[in-house]
Amino acid sequence: MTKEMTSTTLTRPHFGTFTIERKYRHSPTRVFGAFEDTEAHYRWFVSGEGWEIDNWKRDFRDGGRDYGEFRPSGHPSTFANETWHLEITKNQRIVDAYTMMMDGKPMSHSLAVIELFPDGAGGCRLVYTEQGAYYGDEQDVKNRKAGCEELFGKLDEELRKHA
Amino acid sequence: MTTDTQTRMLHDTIVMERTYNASPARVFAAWESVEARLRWSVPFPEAGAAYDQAEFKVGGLDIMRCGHKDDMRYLAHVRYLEILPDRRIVMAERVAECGEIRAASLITIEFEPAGKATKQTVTMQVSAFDGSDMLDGYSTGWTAALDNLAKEFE
Repeated sequence: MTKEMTSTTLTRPHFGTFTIERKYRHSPTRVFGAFEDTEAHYRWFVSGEGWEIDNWKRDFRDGGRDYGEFRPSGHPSTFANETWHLEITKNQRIVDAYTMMMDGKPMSHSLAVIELFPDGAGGCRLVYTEQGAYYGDEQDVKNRKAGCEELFGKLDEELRKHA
Repeated sequence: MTTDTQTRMLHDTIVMERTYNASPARVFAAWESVEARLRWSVPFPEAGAAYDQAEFKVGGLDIMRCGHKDDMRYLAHVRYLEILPDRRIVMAERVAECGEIRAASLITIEFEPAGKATKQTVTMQVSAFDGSDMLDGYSTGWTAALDNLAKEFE
């Protein structure tokens, strides 16, 4: 058994849960649209400054699979996100399972639930709950939460820019 | 347990440990084999299960009906996310009852050698929809199933 296998594939996962709540000035329908619409979703969720994206595929429906590979510019590793949509209730809820990989090896598996609620006058409250198995260090859950918070910030920007 | 009254869901993590009198390869095989699973995963004598589809491979999908023998009202879709032979299985499950989604879960099964036996740890990270009885369902059903699994190695 190689040292590399020991350190990556045979690591026992640690488990964690976190929740993020965000309020948007836009309606649940509009927020859901930013997930459903392939171009909008690409803008705020997939693309990012300093990342090269390859092989992005999208199939946003119950049982559908999204897959994309991405590489930080100048970084030797290729990261990938494989997402299975377990259940989608239009304008209300998205239940996904997703795996993050580095060079083809799983770094984490997560159950991700996004709930959208009407909030105030025409707004939306988004509740994101992730329950995951992580193969890195103890900082994984904290880092993942920070990454997701950044994404929900990008979602806000998307909603403001593309009315 | 996380109970957020402002959401319609309950999220919880259930961990079950068992030590089986068999090698990790034999315990893994009891998960891999559909025939073996149909023997041990049915929790009660009056319960039934049937597979419409079984694909034990990474990215593969099982579709299984289960419930009372005369009323298999639950439909489970299981997607395999990771399979490391004799070491680990990770899967995502959604369970619907009469067409309505009731729960989704991430299930990690780990096998570790313990002398000639195998320590198995099942970690279920469950999101239950519209109430908590699916959390009880997971606890009761899997406790019985994992006890049954021991009988495979007697």
